[in-house]
Amino acid sequence: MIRFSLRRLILLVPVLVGITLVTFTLARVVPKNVAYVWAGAQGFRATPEAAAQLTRQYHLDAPLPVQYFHYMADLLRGDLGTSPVTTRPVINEIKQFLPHTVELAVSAMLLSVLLGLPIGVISAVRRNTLVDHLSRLTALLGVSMPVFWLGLLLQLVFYSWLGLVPDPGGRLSNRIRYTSPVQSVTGFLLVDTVVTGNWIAFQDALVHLILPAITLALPQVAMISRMTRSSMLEVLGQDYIRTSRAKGLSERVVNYRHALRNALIPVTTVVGLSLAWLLTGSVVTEVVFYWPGLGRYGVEAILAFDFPGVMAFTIIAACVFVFANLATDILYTRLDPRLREGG
Amino acid sequence: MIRNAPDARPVRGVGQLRQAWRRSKRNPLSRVGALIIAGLVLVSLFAPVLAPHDPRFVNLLDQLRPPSSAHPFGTDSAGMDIFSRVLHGGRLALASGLIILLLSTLTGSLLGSLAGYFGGRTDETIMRITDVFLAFPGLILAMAVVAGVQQRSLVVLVVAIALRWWAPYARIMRAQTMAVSALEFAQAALASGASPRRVLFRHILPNTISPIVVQATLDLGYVILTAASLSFIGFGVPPGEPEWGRMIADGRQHMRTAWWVITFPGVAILLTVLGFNLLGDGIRDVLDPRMQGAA
Repeated sequence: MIRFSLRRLILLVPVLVGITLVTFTLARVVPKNVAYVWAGAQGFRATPEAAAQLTRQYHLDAPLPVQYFHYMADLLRGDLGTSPVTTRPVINEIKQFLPHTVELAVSAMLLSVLLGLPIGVISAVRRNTLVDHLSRLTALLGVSMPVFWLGLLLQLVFYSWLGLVPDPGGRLSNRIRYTSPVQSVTGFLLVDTVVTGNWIAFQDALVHLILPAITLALPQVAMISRMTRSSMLEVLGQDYIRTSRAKGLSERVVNYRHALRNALIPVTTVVGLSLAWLLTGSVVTEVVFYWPGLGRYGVEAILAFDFPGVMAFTIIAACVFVFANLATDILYTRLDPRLREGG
Repeated sequence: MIRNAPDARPVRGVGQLRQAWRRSKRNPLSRVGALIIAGLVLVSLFAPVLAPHDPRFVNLLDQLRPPSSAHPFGTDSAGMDIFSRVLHGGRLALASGLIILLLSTLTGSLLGSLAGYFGGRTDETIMRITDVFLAFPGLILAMAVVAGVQQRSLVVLVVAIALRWWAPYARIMRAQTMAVSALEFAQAALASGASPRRVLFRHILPNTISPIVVQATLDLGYVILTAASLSFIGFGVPPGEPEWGRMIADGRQHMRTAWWVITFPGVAILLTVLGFNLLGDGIRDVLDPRMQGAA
């Protein structure tokens, strides 16, 4: 098991190097003079001197392989560079934005498992009943729904028409910043507000989380319930299930103790892969809800020609994706006894 | 060891598509999907005839009008007719989706078959490159492309998405080529003196194409969804273009007073993707015997 995981980790090294290479090449694919743009963004007059200074600072006049070498040398020391637009170290910006994305993704993940699994199981156990048809239809709509449109519709219904949620923009209401400002401890708002006992801000942060989390979760609920249903049906058709029924075990024990356990194995794959897809979905969701997370950061960085920012965003996203896939593979191998020896 | 499941799913022959249609009686939903897609294709082909207005005609006297007989889906903040724009949007979605898939299947097939046929170093190199591109979520790599090019256009959108999309096809094609080239007829062609290149392109490739075509059909809805998302976050087509994602992005600031601005393009995306998913479900049912009767 450990050897298998280690081998997979080592195989990952060339992929990780490839990720940086592709990202770097893309960021510099078209030769252009960004030094002037950066000088302007920093509030200087975009003079040739300021541009020359930035050109030197970012090695823009060096050949591309040399630039890549500089970037990699910094990256290996854990230095993501300094943003030429905000003049802050990129790592600080990531530290500020990433926790919001994690909060969003984790809540969406929890929501999608908590809803998707039971829906799938009930659908399979009560196959071809009204419940089954309804949940399958919902699942089909869920996987076909454009996330951004869903988010806007939820805003329209729950904010504009029903007035059930506060202004669905950003992580907190504006007034919180003045009435009960949040002390940053971990960067995770829900944690920080609890730790500091700031209940007003906690409540506000939680309410702001609801619509984005639902938006991000719905396609995953659909995926997970579909997978659970078909996996469950496959298992229910197997001989050992017939045997356990023949032994006189109750429907409940057969369904939930014998069938569900094995049916869950393929579902872990979907859950693991959905963790990776939450990343893509969160970019769109964050744009819809003005959520100050990593996706929004990436979008802003692109708009501002902030290449170190764009590279950090892309590399982090790809790494999360790769490691989530790897973890899923390893978990799957561990859960399925048939795969345990061969790996 | 498991290949990353959804990407590398093997799917069998196109010849079975006809069989699929016959068997789809048992799965009426897939017929609904087929009908939606047929409708989309027809509407896209005849959009210029069906659309009552020029989709880019700005009329500042007719801003944000609710649906009426003159404008069945209302007008947007520039007074453009949303009905005409949704029709033309179908054209754009279908065309860009097909071009992306054409580019990616061609690239993927070529690289995958080279890797599968020649093996060794060639295989190793090509598959490591494929792994790298598979490491990026599609939308993220597309964003990185736009970041580098700093342009918004249909061409950039197509290239940006295709740049990630070919990789799964390369994997499928590699496996398929390896399987087919071990068959007797391929060995016989080689033994009778045909060059490896001829054997690959004349004998093996024609027999490996169908799984790719089937997989691409299943993927079309998802490609269209990705393209719309890219446009929505502002990195696809330029503002004002009749593209569904872009229309929703342009209309969101008016949605509180004019619900129709974002509603109709959204319904169009939903129906299109739903159509392809229903159709895909039906095809999968028939082609994957394990799932027979399960879905």
